[in-house]
Amino acid sequence: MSQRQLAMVINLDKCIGCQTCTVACSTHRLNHPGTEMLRYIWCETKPGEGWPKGWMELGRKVPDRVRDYGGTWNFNWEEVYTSPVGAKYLHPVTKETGEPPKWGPIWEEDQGGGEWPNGYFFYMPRLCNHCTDAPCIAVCQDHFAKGGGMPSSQGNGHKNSLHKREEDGIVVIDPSSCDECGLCAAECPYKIPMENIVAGTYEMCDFCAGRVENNYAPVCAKSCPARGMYFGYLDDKESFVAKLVNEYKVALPLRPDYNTGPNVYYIPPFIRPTSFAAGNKPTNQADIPVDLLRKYFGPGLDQAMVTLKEHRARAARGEHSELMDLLIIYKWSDAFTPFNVLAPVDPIEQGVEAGKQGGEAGKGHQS
Amino acid sequence: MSKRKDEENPAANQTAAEANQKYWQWDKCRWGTHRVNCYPGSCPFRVYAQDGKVIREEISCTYPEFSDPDYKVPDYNPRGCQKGYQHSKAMYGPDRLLYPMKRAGERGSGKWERISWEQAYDEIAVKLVDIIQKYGPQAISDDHGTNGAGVLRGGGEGASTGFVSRLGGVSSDLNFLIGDFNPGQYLTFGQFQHAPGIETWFLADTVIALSNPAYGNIPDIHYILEARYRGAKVVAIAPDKNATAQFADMWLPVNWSADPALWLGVCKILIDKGWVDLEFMKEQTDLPVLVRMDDQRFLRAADLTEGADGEQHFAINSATGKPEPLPKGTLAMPFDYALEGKWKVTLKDKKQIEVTTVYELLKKRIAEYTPEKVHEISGIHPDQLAQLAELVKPPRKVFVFVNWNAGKLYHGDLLERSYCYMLALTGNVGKAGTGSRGWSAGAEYIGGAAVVGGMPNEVLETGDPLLHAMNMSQKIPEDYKTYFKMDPTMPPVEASLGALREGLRMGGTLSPPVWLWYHHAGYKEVWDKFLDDPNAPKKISQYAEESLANGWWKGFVHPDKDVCPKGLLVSGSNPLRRHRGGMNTYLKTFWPKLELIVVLDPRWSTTGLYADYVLPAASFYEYADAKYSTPATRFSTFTDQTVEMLGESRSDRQITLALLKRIQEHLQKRGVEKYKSDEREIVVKELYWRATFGGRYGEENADEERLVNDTYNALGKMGWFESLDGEELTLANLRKNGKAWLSGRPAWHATVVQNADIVPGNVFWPFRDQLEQKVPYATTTRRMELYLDHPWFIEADEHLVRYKQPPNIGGAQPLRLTSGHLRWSVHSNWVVSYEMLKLHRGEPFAFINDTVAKQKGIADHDYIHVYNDYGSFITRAKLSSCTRPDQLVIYHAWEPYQYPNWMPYDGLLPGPPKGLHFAGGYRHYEYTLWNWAPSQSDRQTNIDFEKAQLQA
Repeated sequence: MSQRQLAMVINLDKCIGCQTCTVACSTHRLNHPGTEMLRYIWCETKPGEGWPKGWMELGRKVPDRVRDYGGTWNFNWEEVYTSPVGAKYLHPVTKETGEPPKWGPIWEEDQGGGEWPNGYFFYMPRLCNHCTDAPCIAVCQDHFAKGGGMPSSQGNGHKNSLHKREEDGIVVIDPSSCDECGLCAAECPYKIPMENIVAGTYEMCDFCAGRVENNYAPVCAKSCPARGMYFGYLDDKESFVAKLVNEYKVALPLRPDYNTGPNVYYIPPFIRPTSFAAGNKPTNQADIPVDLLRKYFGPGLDQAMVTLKEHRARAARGEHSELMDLLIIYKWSDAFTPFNVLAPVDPIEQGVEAGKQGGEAGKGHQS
Repeated sequence: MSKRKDEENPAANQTAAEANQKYWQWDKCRWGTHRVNCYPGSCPFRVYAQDGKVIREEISCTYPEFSDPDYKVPDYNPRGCQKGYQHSKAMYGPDRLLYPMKRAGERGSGKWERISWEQAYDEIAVKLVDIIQKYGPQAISDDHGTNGAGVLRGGGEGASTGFVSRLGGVSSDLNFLIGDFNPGQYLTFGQFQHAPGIETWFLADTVIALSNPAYGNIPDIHYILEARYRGAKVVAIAPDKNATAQFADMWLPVNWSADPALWLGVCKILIDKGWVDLEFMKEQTDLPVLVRMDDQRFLRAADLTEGADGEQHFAINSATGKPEPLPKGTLAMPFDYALEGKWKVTLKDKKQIEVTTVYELLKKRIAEYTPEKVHEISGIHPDQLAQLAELVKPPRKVFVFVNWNAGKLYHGDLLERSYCYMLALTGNVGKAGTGSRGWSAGAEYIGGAAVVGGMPNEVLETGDPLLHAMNMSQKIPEDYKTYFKMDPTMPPVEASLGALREGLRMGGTLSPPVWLWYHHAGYKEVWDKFLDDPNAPKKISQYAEESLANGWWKGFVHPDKDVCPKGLLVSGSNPLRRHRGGMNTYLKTFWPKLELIVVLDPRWSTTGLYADYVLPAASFYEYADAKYSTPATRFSTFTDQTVEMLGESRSDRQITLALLKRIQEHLQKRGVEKYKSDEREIVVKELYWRATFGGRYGEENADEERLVNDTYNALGKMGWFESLDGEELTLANLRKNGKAWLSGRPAWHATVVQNADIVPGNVFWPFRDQLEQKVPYATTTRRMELYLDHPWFIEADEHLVRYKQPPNIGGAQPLRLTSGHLRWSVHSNWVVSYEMLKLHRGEPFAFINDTVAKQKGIADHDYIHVYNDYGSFITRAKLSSCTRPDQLVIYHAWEPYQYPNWMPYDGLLPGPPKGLHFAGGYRHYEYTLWNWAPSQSDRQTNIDFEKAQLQA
């Protein structure tokens, strides 16, 4: 266990599946070779198999590059723009198979479950859980102990590629010492680490460790247009994450039965339309079966739903609810204390404290 | 040991760690936003560049908190979405245009030749001059669009509008090109450009969502989601259980076009239970207005006395039981209006007739909409109907969220009028968290109008023509009211819209596109053939011809029936995708008539691939401009030049200016000094001079920057914008703050139609003047108009809202096609960018019901062939239990070239407008820019589908 632990809370009662987190991450973090189909964060539609395909059922398997991830997609823009109109149309082909893709990161968008008129779905962004008892680290350590891995060029003194940072609990991969053994991907029940075959390493979300070091919030969370993401230290009692996770206990780990101690927490979708009986007669039952939510979020689900609904009823009666205010987030930056949600203006030299000026952009201003 | 070590290609070994080390290195950080015509946009980003290349952008999160003393609402941060967040990659994508191109084979051969700008300008100019000389200037049309929505583009209308109108060519009303109209709200309020601040959605007690903001309003929807945590209830009404419905307390799976039955059923409950706001009904609406029972028209003074006012309406004074004139200049009640009863009045010819109130007629109309009847029509169970009525019961504040679906639905006017009935009965207008919304833009449009319309020479000769023009514009509505209409009681909105109408009618060639479609693109025949509406008294062509014969569209029928379009300039637009039937009727009928097709665009669109010349327009991070503001957020967001324009691209303004210069030269060479378009004289030697504002703003980048500076400086001086820090509003200030605050209230157009002051820092909502100052509405009765006394509406039995069975559009097929904005693009901007393609299945798809798919032997991701009598297309099937069994949902703005054979779903949309929307002749039944014209309908087109055999 690290000295401190950073956590992210994602409010699924707000997540609209827009993938702004996904794309912000891609724009900021996935610009090096081999990242075309890599994701550090992505948003799944639930219920569904997810990405990699059927990850909850994969056990200790390393997901298959084509079958489970969907392979690398190529498109034929050039051919379309230089052929007679109508002759060639733009479509994806999987590089590995030469065939149209059969799966991908966001394949099941808005499909969901149930039967008309009682169909339903909700969205669930997924990223590394930065687990307290991360099985990926244990297996990596073991691998190195058995003579695996490569010498690190990072000079960080770690004996294995994966480690959990003492100061904030972020789980990071040191790519220079990763030998792509794949054991982390096999051990991770959430199937988060992904292989970059070009760079020759496994990769995954590091909570934007470089931004965090400079006091800036992770780019996915700070950019959430539905305002459903939070970030902060769990031991900071005033932080929104601590209140939601520890005080009100409405933010729950995903699949707690995996026993890895995830530090990404989800507020379950608790405001839902009801399902219908014959003739479209409305019932009192929410459309999502509670068993499904219980499967995802474990035994804490029932009390969390009661708390959330009770506080909403309070607010509807005109009474104050701190919990509802935490979900509203009147001031966006409050959800990230002590981190900065502003976009940095000045470049930061490595090893130099945040806020130091430099370069032409130093003339810029934060308003 | 590792397969990683690629000795031959060390660059490939660059890892995440090295990328992280480079993360903090950039040599430029500027403001950026995306001038796509998304609404309201206003997303301030920081854009980072290294060595002349943009490396990424980031949402700035710099919106200030609200400082409203009366309302606590969440802030706007972080405004942005996934689309803007990848422009840094998309701008370098494979669809980006970098050089002027000329086709090197037949149109559409796919063969292109790169040419110089000089060659492009010269050849295009010569061809346009040929067209002007041979066919007249109105044979040149523009189709402008959504990729240039910047202030300098002529107020979002695209540079081509200014260019074409300067030449005396025809410019189409963008709003009706795209069909973004709220016909029912327009008919009710006499305007559609009211738009509450998105933050006021948070203040509603009940939000009724009729559109799908989870797709179309990504940075705004949080206000609806967060209202729920205040205790507000959210109700989604939609035929399918769309993404937004998943967040609602209640979803009403309403049958096709059955919303009017639903709302009339709600109104019946409200009236039966007395859950109405009588004061509001009397003061603000036409419910007390008297209607003649013989011809069902309003009783007018001219009916009673020869030569009296034809616009004077009456109510019964409940104290005397006598009809008395309603004040025209105020909503304040000089006496108590009777809502119920029947009375006899004597007409000027001594005939005695019965009159009654709109309220009586409305009660009679809704009597048949019992819960059981509503259930039968709409599929909505009486229990849910009762729940809905409870949720709109006064004093609950009710906000009806709509985008612009209704303008694309044949009976969309009835749909909108029906919820306006509910708003009227419950007094849900003019208060924070109430009402509904249309579309509007900020005061930059006044600058824009000046740019587009052209200013008088003497203005161009002043020291500050922009400021001068803005000042002058302030007098226009007053002049219209006082000298043109001689009606001192006229409310400001009516004066503003009326002045605009007359200005356009007299001085311009801007027209709603319906006449181009109808006369020149083959739609007259298509609409009559593929619309089967047994409930319409007349065919579309009969409505159209009658309206022309009546002179209802005088001044707005361009190009004339006898002037065949020959030259088309497309700027940031994609008409082959956008027009319903674009790749069908429009391509087959209209395209071959064109001798010249020029496309200005930053990217290869389908239209570009069918063009003669494609000119590379620079994109959002490549020159200074701003995205127009809107009342919805009340900020104009600045986008700077972070890098040089890519390749040989130039700004659309630079391109059209250069073209104009060449055209002037060629006309002069041929000895043409002046020519006419309608009554307007075009002086050839002044063409370029006028377009550059008297030579002030030429084609250099520095000119662009000066124009931004001077425009905002003038707007600031007028009090229509404020800087964020109290300093003078200049380019430097925009560079510092990235945005400027919309404020005040110009007298002409745009923000005056909000009927409320815009105060920076405060929440904002429209129609406050009506409620607080008793300023009348801009309708026939100058009240919220629930009753339409236009003879056509009476004839069609739509003078009051009723449920009408939807027509068969496209054939008698059993299923309905619906659409809406795609999540992954803003129109077709970014729709083929790699980042966006990876967010779905990489190609177009349609949602179909999973059970129906099984019955038809269709598996997920199979190709399906979708068809009706008019057309067909092939797409991938995506199975969902949230899609209605008799429905196919395909979201729009895929490029046609993403479909097999390039036939998009638009190819089976004949797009008939509703005939009644050709109505005109008096009061608010008249066209002006963005207001009241027929637009193409596409929602609920009939279709069927089957599994298609197709190998990719």
